[in-house]
Amino acid sequence: MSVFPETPVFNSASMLRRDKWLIRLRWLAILGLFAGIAFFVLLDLGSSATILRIASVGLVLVLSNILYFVFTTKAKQYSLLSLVGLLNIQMVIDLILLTLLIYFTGSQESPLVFFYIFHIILASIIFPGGFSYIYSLLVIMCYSTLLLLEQFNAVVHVAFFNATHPLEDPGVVFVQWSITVITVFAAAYLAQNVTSRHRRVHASLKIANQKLQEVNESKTTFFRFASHEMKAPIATIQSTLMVVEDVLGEQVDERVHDMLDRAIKRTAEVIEMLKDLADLTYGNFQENQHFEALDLKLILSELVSNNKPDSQRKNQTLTLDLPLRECIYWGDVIALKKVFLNLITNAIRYTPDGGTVNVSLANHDEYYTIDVVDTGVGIPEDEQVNIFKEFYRTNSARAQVSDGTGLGLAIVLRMIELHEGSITVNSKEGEGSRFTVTLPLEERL
Amino acid sequence: MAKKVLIIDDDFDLVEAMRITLEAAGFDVMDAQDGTRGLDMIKTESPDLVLLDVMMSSIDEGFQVAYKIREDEAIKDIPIVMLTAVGNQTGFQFNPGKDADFLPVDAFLEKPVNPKKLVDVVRQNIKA
Repeated sequence: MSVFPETPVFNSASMLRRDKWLIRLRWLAILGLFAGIAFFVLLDLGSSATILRIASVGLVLVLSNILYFVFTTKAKQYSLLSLVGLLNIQMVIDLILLTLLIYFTGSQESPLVFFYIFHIILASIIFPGGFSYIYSLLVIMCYSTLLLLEQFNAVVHVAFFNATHPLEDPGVVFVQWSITVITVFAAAYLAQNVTSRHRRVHASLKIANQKLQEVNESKTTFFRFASHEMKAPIATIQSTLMVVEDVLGEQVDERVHDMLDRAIKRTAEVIEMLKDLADLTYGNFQENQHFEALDLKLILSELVSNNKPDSQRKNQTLTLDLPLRECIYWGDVIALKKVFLNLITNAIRYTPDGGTVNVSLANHDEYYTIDVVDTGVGIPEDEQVNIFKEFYRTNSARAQVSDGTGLGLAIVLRMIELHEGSITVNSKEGEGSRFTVTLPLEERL
Repeated sequence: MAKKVLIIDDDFDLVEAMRITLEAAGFDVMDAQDGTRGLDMIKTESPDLVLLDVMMSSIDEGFQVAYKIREDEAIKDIPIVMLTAVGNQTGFQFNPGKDADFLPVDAFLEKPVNPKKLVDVVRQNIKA
């Protein structure tokens, strides 16, 4: 049987985090200790010999903390057990040093006894279940030993806060000891209770999150399946309508002809929508993602030259600025082409005749940016937050171009997220828009 | 004599639509519902061109049929026009020039099939 419960909270990564946290916390405690010493000196409390002894405990703490720190950072990998061992060693040494400090500051009269409680709380945060009780026992053992040694005069009582030892009566000593014991165990119980509840909540949230992800995945699978199954029959319907139109040709009434035209157009719209829906699910399935080294300059040049005819039709100037340096990026070519194509065609579509569209690529140390800037209609500020949402179309876009699924930018965002990149928009109504795509350059295997 | 076009596609309505268009343009049209029957008909009927659906019973049945045609000495020179599914997954466009090495077909036609385009592509690829 394993000592540690099979919860995700107790793995070597989380134990290492706790180890580092404990070391940081100890630095704070050391700082507090030296501040306390300064305070004692200032108030003229305790003899100089005692102050010196307290300071030397502080010094031991500093040295041991440096040792733990070196030990933690030096070793590259730790097993869970060795980390738990290291943490236990730290806690036990801390406990002994704290007991020493309590002894130096008057044992039972020392207010530092309260710091034992911190120890119990720390143990319940750091270790699983039973450890906080084990530490409670250790605390009681340390404290009892100290009191017993003093009661039997094995060690000399240090009168720190009082000139004389007021607790000569063993009965009083016992009552105070009992109260401390009860306090320690109550603290252990409470801390243990709170942390275990926290861990249970954490675990159940994790499970809930996993379930949500599964639901999302099944939704995506449904989308993909549904759009795929619908595309084929609609494509056939459209082909049939085109044949009917072609065969009937001029023989039919103009109204019938228009009706057929509209029907063909509407099937085309449905097909567009289904294609876009399928695109939105792209990348959710490992099998259709394919990351490889890509030449961004080449991809952008191709897309810009493919779109030249459309911009020329509107007397627009479509330009491309590329850096001299080679721009290789580890990405999915289908997804990235979709991103850039969407942004370029949008820019052309929503820029009036005679306007300009500029595409530029820049490489920075840790990322690439791709800017698509137009002198088009722009996007009102209050609509900018919505444009990446599914099915959202701005009022002016609706007014200007009747067709469009409202999925284009949602797809763009999805594909950029696939690359852990980001997209921002900067636009002024009537002046134009700037879409900036940032693609992080990171080591991918 | 009219040129013979064989359509290998399991979508009956699409086959009929293409048949009407191609017959109106003066071709003889035959059809097969799956790859195996299609291959048999190529051997028995020796069509002048094959219109091949990319995806029938399996995801790549069309490609398998294309490879079999190209591997068979007797029929390897028949022009093949491949019909691709709508917006194939992510709108990946096949490029016959560039991908000819591993896609042994002469042209691609995307569904839905525009009748004028269909006739144009068939005329361009059929051998005189």
